[in-house]
Amino acid sequence: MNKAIIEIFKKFCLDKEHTHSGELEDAHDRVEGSLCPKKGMSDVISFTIKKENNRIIDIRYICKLCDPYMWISVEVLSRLVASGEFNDVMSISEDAFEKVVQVKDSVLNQHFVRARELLSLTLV
Amino acid sequence: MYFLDNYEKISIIICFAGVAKLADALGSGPNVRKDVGVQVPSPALKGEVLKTIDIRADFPCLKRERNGKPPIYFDNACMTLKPSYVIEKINEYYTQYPACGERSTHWFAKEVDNAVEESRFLLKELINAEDEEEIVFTKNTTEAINIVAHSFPWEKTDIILTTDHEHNSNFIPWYMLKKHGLIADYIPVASAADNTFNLDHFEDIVKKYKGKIRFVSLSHVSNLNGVYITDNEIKEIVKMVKNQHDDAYVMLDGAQSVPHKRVDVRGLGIDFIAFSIHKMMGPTGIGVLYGRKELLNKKLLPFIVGGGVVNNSFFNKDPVFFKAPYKFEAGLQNYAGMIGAGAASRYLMRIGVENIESHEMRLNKMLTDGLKKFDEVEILPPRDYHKRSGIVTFFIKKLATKHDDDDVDIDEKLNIRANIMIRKGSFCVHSWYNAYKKYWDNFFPGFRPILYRASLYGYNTEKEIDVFLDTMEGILKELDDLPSL
Repeated sequence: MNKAIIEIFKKFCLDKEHTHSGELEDAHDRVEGSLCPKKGMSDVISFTIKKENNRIIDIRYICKLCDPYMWISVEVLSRLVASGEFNDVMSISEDAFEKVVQVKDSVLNQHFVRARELLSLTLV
Repeated sequence: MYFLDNYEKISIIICFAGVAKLADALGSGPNVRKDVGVQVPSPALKGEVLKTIDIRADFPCLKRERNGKPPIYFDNACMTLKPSYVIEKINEYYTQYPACGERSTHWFAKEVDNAVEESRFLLKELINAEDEEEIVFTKNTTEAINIVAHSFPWEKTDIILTTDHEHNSNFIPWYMLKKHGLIADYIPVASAADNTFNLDHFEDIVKKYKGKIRFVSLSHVSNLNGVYITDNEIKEIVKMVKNQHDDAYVMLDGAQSVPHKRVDVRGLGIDFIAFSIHKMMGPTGIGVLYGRKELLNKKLLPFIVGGGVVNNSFFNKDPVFFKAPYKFEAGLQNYAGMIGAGAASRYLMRIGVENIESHEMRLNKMLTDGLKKFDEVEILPPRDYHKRSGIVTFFIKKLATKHDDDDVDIDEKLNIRANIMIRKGSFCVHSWYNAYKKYWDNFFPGFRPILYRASLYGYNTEKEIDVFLDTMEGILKELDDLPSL
């Protein structure tokens, strides 16, 4: 696979200190879904979210059977929405995503869009 | 491979009460067990190891090929393959005497009754029950456990104990009793750090709730990772449970034990055991509940009722139930399944469950040793093969185990490349998986790996283990670019 993607995966997803991978025990909302139902058993992503006054104050995700594209997408999405207004989730653009990951990759963007749709389901 | 011809020719004409006598009548030819009339294989008597290739020929599906390769079936904890002998006994029912049992008096019906009761006898022999009437046919293990859960006269102060890694079949029924307020509590007793059964901790719990524990239901062998409770531990459990309450009972979920090891219900002193025939080379849709006769007759009141369970009913008073096992077998039964169950039991005894156990242990060692050589692979504890039955569950220490959407997962690669069939998922032990978060988080926060399970049986071979390990090596090499944890 694309070496650049693997480098981004390492940079954003294997950083124990800053990762949003995990679960919030006292979450207000939880959403779970499959985003890449192409072959065999699909990936399963679940977000747990803590809210306060219409704002996300904390967010974590579990990414099961995810490929690096999906890991990057949900991690970066989590970073972007943290402390954001609920209504802002769908308005986070692919440009904003690309700016963070510093790469233009259509497959990566597709994954990001799907992850954003899943997360927005629980916030609308 | 047929080895029971003489027995079968005679057995078709006998009646239920005559089964044991028939076995005696078979005489004492070489290697014949008088009690069941089943020939014990000579390797077992000589202490030789089971030659799996001898029984592989009995399984039609093992003769199949795909892409020039044979099947490698390692999904035995879910479902086992069926030998011709069992298939033909089921076919025999459908082609020769496909009638109702227990109702009609005609020619075919009598043959059904005889065949079903012979099956009950063979299953009784398999687990060393005292009486055929202690063998209740059910749909599967799940139904067998539910029969006990919903037929037992619970009191609101009762506490039920299980382990913390039960299959949903031995968890949800008890959980629901608590939810409906029928019992005081349901406690899943924590296992040791390496997932093995922790007798000391169990004893602490029994002491803590002394006099309130009414029922204990434990997986004899876990389908999650093959961890088992030893015979001595079970005897200790029975003793301590019965000492603290004079009306307390012990049940085993034997779905993963009865097909793989010698289970002696009387020797263990247990009150109930549930198991499924499809996991012991028999047909699907049939299982067994063993219960001590006096408990089945006097303690349990059936909850699935209707036709076939009563011998009289009235508008203004209670129906008159049959005695066990019939009072638990409501409606027209799965006769083909029952007959197939007997055939599977006979086949299993012919091979010798002890031989299967030692064979699986040898393969388990080989598989465990092989997997330990891969840095990326972690065997779900316990890592020591001695502590597990023929089940090896493992996961890959990587956040990602596939490259992209078009890449398939490891189990699918094994299937595509070498016809290797394993299972992945949580194996119906979600409660344990969800409670095990701290263990997964030690690898990486939020790490929730896919578990892969290879489960073995008597027809598996060393060569199959070699092919599995070689194929795994190739797959893991392709994942080298994805970082390990």
